[in-house]
Amino acid sequence: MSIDSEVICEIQVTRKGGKNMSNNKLKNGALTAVPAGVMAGTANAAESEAVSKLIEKIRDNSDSVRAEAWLSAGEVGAPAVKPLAAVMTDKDLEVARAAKRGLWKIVRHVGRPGAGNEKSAVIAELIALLNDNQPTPVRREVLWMLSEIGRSKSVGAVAALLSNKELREDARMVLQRIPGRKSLAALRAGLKAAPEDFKINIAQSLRQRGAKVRGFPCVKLVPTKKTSVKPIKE
Amino acid sequence: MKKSNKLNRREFLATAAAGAAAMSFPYLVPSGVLAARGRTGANERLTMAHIGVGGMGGHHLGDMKRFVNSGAVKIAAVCDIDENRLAGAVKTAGPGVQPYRDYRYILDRKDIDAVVIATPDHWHGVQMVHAAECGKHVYVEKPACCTIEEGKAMVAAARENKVSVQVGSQGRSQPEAYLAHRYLVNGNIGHISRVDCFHYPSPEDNNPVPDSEPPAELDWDMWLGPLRWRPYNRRYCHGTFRWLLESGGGQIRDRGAHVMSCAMWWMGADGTGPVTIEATGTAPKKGLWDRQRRVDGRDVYVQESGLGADLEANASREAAAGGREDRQGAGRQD
Repeated sequence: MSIDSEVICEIQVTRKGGKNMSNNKLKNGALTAVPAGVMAGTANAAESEAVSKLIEKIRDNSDSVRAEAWLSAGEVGAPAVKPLAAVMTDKDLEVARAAKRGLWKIVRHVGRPGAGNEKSAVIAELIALLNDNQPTPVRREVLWMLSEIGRSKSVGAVAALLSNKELREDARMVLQRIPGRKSLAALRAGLKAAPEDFKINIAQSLRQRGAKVRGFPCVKLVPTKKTSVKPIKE
Repeated sequence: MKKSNKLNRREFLATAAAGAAAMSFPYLVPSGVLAARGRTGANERLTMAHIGVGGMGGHHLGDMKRFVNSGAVKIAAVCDIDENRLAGAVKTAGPGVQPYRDYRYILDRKDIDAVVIATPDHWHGVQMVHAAECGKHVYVEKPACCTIEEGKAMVAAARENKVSVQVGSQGRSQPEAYLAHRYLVNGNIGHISRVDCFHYPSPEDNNPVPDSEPPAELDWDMWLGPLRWRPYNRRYCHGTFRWLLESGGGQIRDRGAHVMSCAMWWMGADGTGPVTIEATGTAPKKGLWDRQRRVDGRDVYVQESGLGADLEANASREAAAGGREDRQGAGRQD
């Protein structure tokens, strides 16, 4: 959560400074910690209000209000991730779509340079959405969101889905896109554990990452699809 | 001038070869194999295949039939992932043309010289590169690709495999475009420092429908191809693919490929790329189509002359009452 992180940073600065503080300054430091706590409470209230307003607008009957809401969702950040994901499966097609677009806005907003803390908070929320309780379309969308902003910490949760028959193809492509050794290692481990019919796909991802793989040649260029349409005889 | 009786080297070799062939292989050659005035010989005749035969691909197939009738071309195969469209193409192409659902069968065939690729935009890069790697010459519909990386891969594949590739930007092939180019290149209005292009905006998805099972005649997985999997939606397939960012990009990419291509030609900016790009757009308020409805873009190029030129592309003006086609064009000089 972006605002929480800022508050935590402020407190840490006070503590770090406190090591060399005089008694008087320590007292002052302790006094400043109280308003910081109050500030955190105020910030949380502000966040909740922002999320509530966002969700209310996402559920609005008006196309314009919904569009305005999802376009401005980015700055609401991590606190809005779960509530938006819940609306992604709304029975109203346009409401569900607005929620999905809002979530993507958040992902792209925190993907900007210099937004490390915000990004980490959103990643944590997204990882939590990969659990079995979420519907498959939501998990699939979340996987692809992680493919854009995911880091090493996301790898474990994504790799676990390599054994999920519905999501394994998305998961292996997400691992292919997340940079770093951990994702490469996860793909290698995935290759060993995968059933025969899926090894080819993981091998392809490993090759894309520059790894050498024995066997399991790429089948992308091999024709397989047959038509029932017949030619006209000459 | 009096013609010399002396044979030059080429005539001698041709005569000698013909004589030797007549002596060694006394068989009859069908007349269709040999070239004659107004008729292409079998060796010069291009053997073509069409990949993607709906929409624009259907037009190309119809046009190609004219070249078949003149003997310049033979159509060997047609391909589509929609069985209905494929069946229609077989009828258009005529007897002996082999239908395929999977374009990779076509690329496996050694007898095919060139392919016409008129699939949705997200397939262009993959199929063109694959065709080049299989030694086929390519005519690929515009827009050539969806990303800069795809474009680079396409250029590299064409060079590496020494095949000819043409991107079907037919806006540039119009007689008016050539006349405008001639007018401008002859300096009739002096140095061009800025070109404004304009076009009507992309439409809004006013009739959204939920995802559903694909129709029986459609191979949805093959239609998606290089895209990430998503469920079929009636508003996201034939024709409408261009209103989504991942597969089309809207008017700025679709029609912009015609209009901006002309503008670059006229600015002397062919073979270059923009130095800077900026764009703003208006998001759709509803529906599946996610590309920006109105886009205003500005690219800055360095011309062959070394001078700079602004290209302002604008897909945001409403259609004129008299017909939207009246409102597209390029080439205002400031």
